[in-house]
Amino acid sequence: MKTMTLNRSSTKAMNYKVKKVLGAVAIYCVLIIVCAIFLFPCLWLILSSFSATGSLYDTPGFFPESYSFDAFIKLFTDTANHNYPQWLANTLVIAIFNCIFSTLLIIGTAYVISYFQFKARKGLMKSALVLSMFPSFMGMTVIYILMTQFNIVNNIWGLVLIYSCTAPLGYLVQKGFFDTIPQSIYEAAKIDGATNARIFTTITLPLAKPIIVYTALTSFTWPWSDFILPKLLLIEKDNWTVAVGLMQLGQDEFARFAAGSVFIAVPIVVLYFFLVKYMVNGMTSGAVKG
Amino acid sequence: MKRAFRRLGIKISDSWTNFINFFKVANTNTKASMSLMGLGQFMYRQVGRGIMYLGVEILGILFFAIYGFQWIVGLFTLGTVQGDPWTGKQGDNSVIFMLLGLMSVFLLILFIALYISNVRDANNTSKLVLKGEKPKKFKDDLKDLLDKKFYKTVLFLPLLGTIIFSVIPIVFMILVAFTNYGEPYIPPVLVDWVGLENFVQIFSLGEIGPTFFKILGWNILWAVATTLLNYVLGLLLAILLNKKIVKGKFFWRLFPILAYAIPGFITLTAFKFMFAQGGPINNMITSNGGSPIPFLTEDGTWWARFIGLMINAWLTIPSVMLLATGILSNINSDLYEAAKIDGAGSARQFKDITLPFVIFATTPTLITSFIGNFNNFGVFYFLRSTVTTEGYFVSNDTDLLINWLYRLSIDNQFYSIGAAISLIIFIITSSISLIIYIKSPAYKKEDTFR
Amino acid sequence: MAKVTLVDVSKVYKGNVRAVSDFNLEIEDGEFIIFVGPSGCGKSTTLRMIAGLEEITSGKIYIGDTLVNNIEPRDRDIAMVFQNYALYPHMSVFDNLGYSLKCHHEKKEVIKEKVNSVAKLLNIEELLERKPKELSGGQRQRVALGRCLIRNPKAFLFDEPLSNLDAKLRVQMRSEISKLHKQVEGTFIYVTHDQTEAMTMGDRIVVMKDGFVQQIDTPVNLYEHPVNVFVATFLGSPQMNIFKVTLKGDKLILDENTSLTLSEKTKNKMMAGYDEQNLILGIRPSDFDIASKEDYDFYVEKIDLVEKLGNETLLYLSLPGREENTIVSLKMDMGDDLKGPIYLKVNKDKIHLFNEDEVSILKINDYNYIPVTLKLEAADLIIDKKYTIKDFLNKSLVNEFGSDEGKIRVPSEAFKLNRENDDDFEVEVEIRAKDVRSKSNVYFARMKKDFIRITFMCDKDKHFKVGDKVKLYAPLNTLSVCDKDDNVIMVNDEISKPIIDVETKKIGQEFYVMHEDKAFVKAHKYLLVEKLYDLNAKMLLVSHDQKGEYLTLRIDRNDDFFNGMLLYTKVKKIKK
Repeated sequence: MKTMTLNRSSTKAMNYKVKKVLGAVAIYCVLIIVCAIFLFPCLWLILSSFSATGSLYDTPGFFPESYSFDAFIKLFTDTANHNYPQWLANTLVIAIFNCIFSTLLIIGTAYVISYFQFKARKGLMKSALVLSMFPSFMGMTVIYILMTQFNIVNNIWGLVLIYSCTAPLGYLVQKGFFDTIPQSIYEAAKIDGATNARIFTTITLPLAKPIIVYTALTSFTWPWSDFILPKLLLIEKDNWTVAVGLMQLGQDEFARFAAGSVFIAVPIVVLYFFLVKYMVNGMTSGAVKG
Repeated sequence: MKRAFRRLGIKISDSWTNFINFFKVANTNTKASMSLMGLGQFMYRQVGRGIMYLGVEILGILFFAIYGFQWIVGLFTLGTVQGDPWTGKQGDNSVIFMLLGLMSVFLLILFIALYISNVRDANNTSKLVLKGEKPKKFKDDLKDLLDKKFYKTVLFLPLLGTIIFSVIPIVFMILVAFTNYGEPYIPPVLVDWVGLENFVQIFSLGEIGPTFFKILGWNILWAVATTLLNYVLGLLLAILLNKKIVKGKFFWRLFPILAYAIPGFITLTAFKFMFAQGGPINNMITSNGGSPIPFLTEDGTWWARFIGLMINAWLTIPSVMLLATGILSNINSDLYEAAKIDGAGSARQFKDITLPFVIFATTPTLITSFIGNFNNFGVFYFLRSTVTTEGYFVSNDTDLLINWLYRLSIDNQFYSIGAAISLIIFIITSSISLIIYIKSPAYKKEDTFR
Repeated sequence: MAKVTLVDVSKVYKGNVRAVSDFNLEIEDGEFIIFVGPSGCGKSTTLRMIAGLEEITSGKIYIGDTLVNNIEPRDRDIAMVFQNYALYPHMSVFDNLGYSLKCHHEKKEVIKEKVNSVAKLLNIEELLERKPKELSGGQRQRVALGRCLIRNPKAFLFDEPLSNLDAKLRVQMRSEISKLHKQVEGTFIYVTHDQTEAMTMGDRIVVMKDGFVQQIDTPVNLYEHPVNVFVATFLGSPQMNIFKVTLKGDKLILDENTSLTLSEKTKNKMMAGYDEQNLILGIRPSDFDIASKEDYDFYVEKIDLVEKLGNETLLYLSLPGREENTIVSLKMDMGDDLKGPIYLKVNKDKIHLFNEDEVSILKINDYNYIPVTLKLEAADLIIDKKYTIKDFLNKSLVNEFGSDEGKIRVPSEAFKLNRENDDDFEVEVEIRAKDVRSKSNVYFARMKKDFIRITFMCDKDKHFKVGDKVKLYAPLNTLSVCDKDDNVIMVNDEISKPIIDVETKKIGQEFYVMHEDKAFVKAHKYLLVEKLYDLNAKMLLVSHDQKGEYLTLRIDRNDDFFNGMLLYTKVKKIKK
């Protein structure tokens, strides 16, 4: 009798274990498929950038037959029609200055709206919300119209200006962060004798490092990926950003397109990984209590 | 409902009473400020403030006399003299008139606001003096800007930037929607106000109307489908990756992040090439004996829509996954343990604990992503901007309202129609958002967070 | 160090939510005073008003001799310890301590010296380079204390600083703060909801409930002589047992079979007029004792629960007059067992009696009302044909009297044993009972006529026995004149006549005085309220208009009104 019960329970245990293992295998299969789907187009792009032939049509099937660095070399040397280095330089300038100005403006706005209780506050928040609901196109079309009429904003500083000035409307994420700083720290500082300006510089900013990094990184990477506004605004070839320039390459220059894309995608992806890791760490260690 | 109106009525009559009372009770200094900005302040020995307000008045009057007034007039007429390139006659540029007029109106509003502030300031000082206190000195005002009124200092630049680069352009475009600005009415040809004619065109039969409704229908279908698809799949992926069995979570998460990090125009163009008529996928199909599938070409209406849906999922699921992962990590693990002891299997735990919590936490973002997808310009611009379909006025069967907008305005210069459509998009999306946002607990409970 | 004074301080939030009402308190220099009460009673709000973190709706707060109503927190020279310490997480302990000095632009060497000396005082020298998140709860609290000490402020404010600590640490920090107080000799204002902290740490305690002050006194006095049921049950653990009883003669009836006979002292202390009334009886668990069969107050058959705490044992049993278990605390060793049935007796001098409004009927009179005869002679008032109040008519609220009879009202603290002025009001009383309290002796006496209950206090070195006849003196300026129904008819200052009865109305955010006479409205465009007098159902406003002319208005009691507010005038339309 006893042996039979023992067998029963051990079979049950075995069944349970088998189920677990099968389940795990299934999950891993799904994961592998999913990741393959995400990886594949990127892989294709990377490999294509190393393709020996330039055009899309020369490659039967997906992947290039012959590989070379040609596309990359051409990117930087054949600058007559497609001045990649110039595009890079332009975009870099825009990114750096946008990063600086946008971060300043957004952080300032978010902090003020989070901390100060002033009469116009709710009104401002509602207006910001309403403004952000207009298709961003409306503003861009106006600028385009002004451009065609006056030829004014045809340079990269216009882009910096527009990016920076429209950035504060997206203050909500940063404000959410500032909302989590306990009021008692500010009160202690007030009693200690700090003016609000001093509180901002000595207490708020140091505590806001994670969100400042987030804002800086996102505003740095944005000009690299934005296409519409630069296309509208920057007419002369020498003023183009990378995004605009790459879109001019047709199917004949596919390898070049891939190469140019990969070249800027790599640093952006690296920055994003860095950002995700920093955000994760920043959120957990920023335990502000005490 | 009646009560709301009554309350509004009482509020209005109370404000009126207080307004009348203000004039009766205002002392001489306040009345002085009412007649000449800054005068009351001078009478209180507030030199700094007085100079500032007086300066505003002088500048304001000068501006309006020299430019402002005629610009505002120009706003209404939009120019009367048409220029003639043949004779070289310089005419009125309607667009410039509209812009300058608009700026003048804003400056007028600003001037009025400063005037009211001037009167209020004098009145407040008079109340202070009554209670036996001294009028505030300019030095203290400056110090306040770094302290009690620090918010004014900080918000000044963002506010200025937003007004110039967001508010004015939007108002300008709203105005354009009521003109006939567009082919052929482009300066130097004079542009005129046409009232609601553009909207009539959009909603009636004719060239534009039918296209509008077709695109609107597809736009709504698209927004719902893609939002739901991305949300559900992203959520599932996050849950999958969150399971205890999965080792090396960070490694698995890298791949979606890769897809998310690469700039959109790159991946979209890559997909466009991938699915092109002569592209690699079709090549593989033909080399295996099939006929090429019209993924993105003219005839492939539903293929194109399907591909668009899939590609957008590829692009957006990673961000949904990241968000859901963050939220899942906030769920109290005690809940799961209690459920396990109660006898709940993993399916039940998912249904009763995970799902409700995540849905509750992500509902606000669901609405924002719905709106974002409604206006998702990039997907169909990069994939199919060269295609036009029969029966669509300068558009195709996968275009969203916003793509159509772009084509109308930028490619074909039908600015006024484009502006009108912008307005319609705005009304749709804003109504949805405002209603849901104001009813959401996040908005109501904002202050209890502290 | 300085004293802190609060005069008629109130805090009203939007929507007429009264968080604090009419808070009056004088805190002595170097006193350790505690605000205690349940959540939401207004204690933290009051503390924050003293700190300047909340705006004062009405009333005045003085730190030292300076009126601080409109002064920023940083200029009030106070320091505060928060419940969650509020240390700056990104700064080291050294920087945390030195932050306030930095804000006041002190030199580096001065900061270093002060930080080091404070760190030494609090034993946290080794922690100076660490960040707050590396410290334990107790260490963080010490840093928070250090941050206060370093500024040498006029007053230290504490907002429930021990609530976040575990029980053992709490006891330790409690003694540290008490010791610190003796060392520093500072004015400590401390808020807590824990009555043990309050009872053990404070020189005086302010008990608050729902925004109102219930009682201000030393811990001992609050424990032994609570003025209402709330204070009685709030302080003391285990809680006081409350019974519903009826008074018949000199017996308190709990039910048909059980009654308690009042002691002589309690009978003599009690206010009159409660015979045959329902009363509330309070007996502390420690005022019970084991009795014998011959002499007992309660016979209990069954003990529901016995809790042995080491040096004392708690018994839970059922007594009449009360639904829940009555808790009895006896000093017993753990080894001793106790089983029912038992006999219990009560220390009858220590019972507490409250009326149906839950107010103690054994307490000191807030005011003593003494009947007198009143006569008007020209503008003066003659009291009892002996005392004269000059220019009475200028301060009185009525112009004539219905009869000659009236009362004067004397606060119990005003009575003195010696005549100080020639015109002091004199009254003779007979001593009936005596209470020894922490700072003084309290005597319960009665007047020969009508046996009116008079209470007064005197220094501890004066002793009187029951039956002694004593003469009491009260300076005339401490008296208030009332009519025979106890309504106050005089205020302490001169007011301008005539007194105008008006209605007020709130329109939008502004207040208007409504008057039928157009000329009145035209003449007085607005009124600035200088002083408010509370007359129970009505209020008196002393105000001046835009020309400086004084007007005294009487309006229905309205809690929105405060000193310094602006009133506009408007014509009141008469409905035909």
